[in-house]
Amino acid sequence: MKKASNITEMSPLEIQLNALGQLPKSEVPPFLLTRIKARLEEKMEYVRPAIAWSAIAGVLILLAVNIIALRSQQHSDAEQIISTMHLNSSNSLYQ
Amino acid sequence: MNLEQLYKEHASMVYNLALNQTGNREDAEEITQDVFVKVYRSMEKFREEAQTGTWIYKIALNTCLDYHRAKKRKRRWGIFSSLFELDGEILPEQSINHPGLLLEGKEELARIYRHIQALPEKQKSALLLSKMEGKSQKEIARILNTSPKAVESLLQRAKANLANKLTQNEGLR
Repeated sequence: MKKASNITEMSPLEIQLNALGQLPKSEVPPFLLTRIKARLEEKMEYVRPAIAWSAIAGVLILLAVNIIALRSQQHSDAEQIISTMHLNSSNSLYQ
Repeated sequence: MNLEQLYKEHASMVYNLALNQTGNREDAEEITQDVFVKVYRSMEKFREEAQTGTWIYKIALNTCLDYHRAKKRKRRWGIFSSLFELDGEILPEQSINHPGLLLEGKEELARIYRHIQALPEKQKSALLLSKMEGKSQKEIARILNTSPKAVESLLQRAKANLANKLTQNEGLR
C-alpha cells in the first residue's frame, strides 16, 4: 500500500529515471580479455615518451656542459700562453 | 590477485558502468580494456586494505570521464560548432547502442537517457550512478570523492536541469 502511494506521488520523470535502473545487464564480450592481454604485451615493448624525452634532455645538458667546459679551457690556455711569453693580447701597438 | 581473477570478478561491473556512462557498446569495450590495463599496471601500488571493487570502480568512472572529454574535444575540432554551445550536446539517436535502450518500448527511456548525457559532467555521473547503478548517496560520495550532501545537491540539480531540458526540447508533462 505504501509502495503504491509512493509511486503515485512520484513525478513521471522520477518513474522513468527509476526505470533506467531496471534495464537488463549486458554480457561482457568474450574477446575482451584476449585484447587486454595483447595490449599489455604491446605496452611492455613501448618506451614511454616521458622517459625518451628525459634521456634526450640529459644528453643535451651533458653536451652543453662539455662545450662550456671546453670553451673556458681553451680561453684559459690562451691566457696562459700570453702571460708566459709576455705577449700583448691587444692589437694596438701603442698603449 | 592476478589479472584473470580481477577480470572474472569485475569485468561485468566495469563493462556495464562504461555502457551506462557512454550508451555505446564500442566505447564501453574500449573503456573496459583501458581500465584493466590501468588496473594491471597499478596493482603493485594498490593498498590491499581498501576495497578492490571501489578502487576499480573509481578507475572505471575516471576513464569514462576522460574518454567522454576526449571525444568532445575531437567533435569540437572536427565539425562546425554552434555559437550557442551548451554544457553538453544531446546525443543523436544513432550514437546510442546500449542494448537495454534499443529494446522495443524503450524509446521514451532512450530519449531521457540522451538528455542525461547532455548534463554537466558531475550531475550526469551522480544521476547515472544513482539510477542506473543503484548506488546510495554515501557510495556515490565515496566514488566521486565528495560528501553525501554534495551528492544530494548534484542529484537535485541534475533532475531539475533534466526536467527543464526535456520540457524545452520535446515537452514532458
